[in-house]
Amino acid sequence: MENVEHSAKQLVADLKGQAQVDNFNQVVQFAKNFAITNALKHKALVLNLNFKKAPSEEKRSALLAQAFELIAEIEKDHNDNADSALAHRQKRAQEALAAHIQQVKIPDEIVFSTSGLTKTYKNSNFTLGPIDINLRLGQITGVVGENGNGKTTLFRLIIGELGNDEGSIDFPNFDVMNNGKINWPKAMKHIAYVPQELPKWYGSLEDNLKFSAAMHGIKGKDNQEEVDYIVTRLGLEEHINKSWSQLSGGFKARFSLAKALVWKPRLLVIDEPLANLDFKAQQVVLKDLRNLANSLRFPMSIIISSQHLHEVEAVSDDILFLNKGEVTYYGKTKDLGEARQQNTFELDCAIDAKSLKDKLSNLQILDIHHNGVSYVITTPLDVDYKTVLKALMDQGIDFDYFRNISQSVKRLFDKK
Amino acid sequence: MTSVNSISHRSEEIQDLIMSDMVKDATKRLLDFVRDFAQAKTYLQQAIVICSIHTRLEKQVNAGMLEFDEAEGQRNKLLFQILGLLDDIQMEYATKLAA
Repeated sequence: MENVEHSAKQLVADLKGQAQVDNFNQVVQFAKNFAITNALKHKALVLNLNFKKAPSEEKRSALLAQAFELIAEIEKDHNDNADSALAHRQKRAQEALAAHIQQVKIPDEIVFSTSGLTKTYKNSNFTLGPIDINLRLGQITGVVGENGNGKTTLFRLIIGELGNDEGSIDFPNFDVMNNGKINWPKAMKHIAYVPQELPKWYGSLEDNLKFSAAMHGIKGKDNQEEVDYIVTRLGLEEHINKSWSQLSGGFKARFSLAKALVWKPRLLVIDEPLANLDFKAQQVVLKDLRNLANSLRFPMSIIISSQHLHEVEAVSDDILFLNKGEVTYYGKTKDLGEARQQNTFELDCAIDAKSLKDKLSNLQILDIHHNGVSYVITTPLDVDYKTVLKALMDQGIDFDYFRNISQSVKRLFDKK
Repeated sequence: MTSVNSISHRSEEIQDLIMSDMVKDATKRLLDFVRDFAQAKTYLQQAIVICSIHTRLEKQVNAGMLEFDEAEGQRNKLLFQILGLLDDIQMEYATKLAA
């Protein structure tokens, strides 16, 4: 590690030269490297944020003066305390924590699995399956496919609302098998289901959440605490005193999620939760689900269906793609497209299909078709997105949108 | 990427969110942090209070109800509380490990 005096001198010189955000970030780094007293590290962090948000030059100058004082304080703190008992205790604590990381992790536990699961609706001649999936703790599985392809049927099979015709369902770690049959009431003590059509809540929102927690054995002080936690965690505090009818569709969905999560299920089944949410709320909910699934103390497995492909792909560990009830893809999201035979791109431009084909004739295009929103272009594997993009530019084609979907589940939708 | 199981990585993640002016996300991850690592229940109650005050503060700021300096002062107070809580929980955790 560099010498504290030298680093402080350099940092002050940098800040005097140009008091920019980047240099202010260095104050935080300096504090992390040299401050022994935690309060000084905190000061650096808060000062950094204040500098970023400062509305005027005058304010920034005042904060800069505070930064110089802080650097001097940190230098003194380091010189006075680097060999102190506090510094040694901190070092020992850090080492102990680093060593401990290896021992704490989410158990690699399958909470739900199916083998050859099949369900047939005789009247409509629709068959879902066969489906073989494993849902693990801490993982999110995204189920995608067009409407009427079996997503909701699969979810209703998972929660025991429908019986399967063939194959088997297992909850390997729930201890719910009784003479080869699933004890569904016992299984549902671990599974929360948020359906697409949300049932109306009667009474106050808070009482509903408390009741849901109580039904799963969370009582007394713990009950209030769990409700407070989930309401705050999902950012619903402002709406807790409203009635169901006063909530927008988006908040109804978010409160339904809160009701499902308040009792800490190990498997969460959510059918189209993003349907009523605006784009920003979708991002917030998906990020919340990702982080909550990964909880160390209360990890859960999540299976989620959605038409918002890119958003679901971004948070899912695994993807299950259903087409007319059949599994077209089931595997790791990151492996999507690994075994593909061709590349696929989306392009939105104003020219007609024939002109586009003519202009891109040098690219060995395998197919161009319009899916109603944009063109879908298929090329051999060796024609990558850079080549296509270059050809579009070279040909002077004006376009509003271009996306490489070769490794996205979107590609499966756009197959002709 | 943050290791879910590392208390120090998770603490740094929250500090990075603060540095990036994503305080709302920082408060949410604080709740997750407390839930995963704190032993004493009072920590969760403290974290819930911090998050709620931050939500109220954000609302007041968005509604233009607070002067800049007043909002900054209140936000700073919350940030120091968040950072203090992170330290306390890490120390509690390390002490438990040592024992």
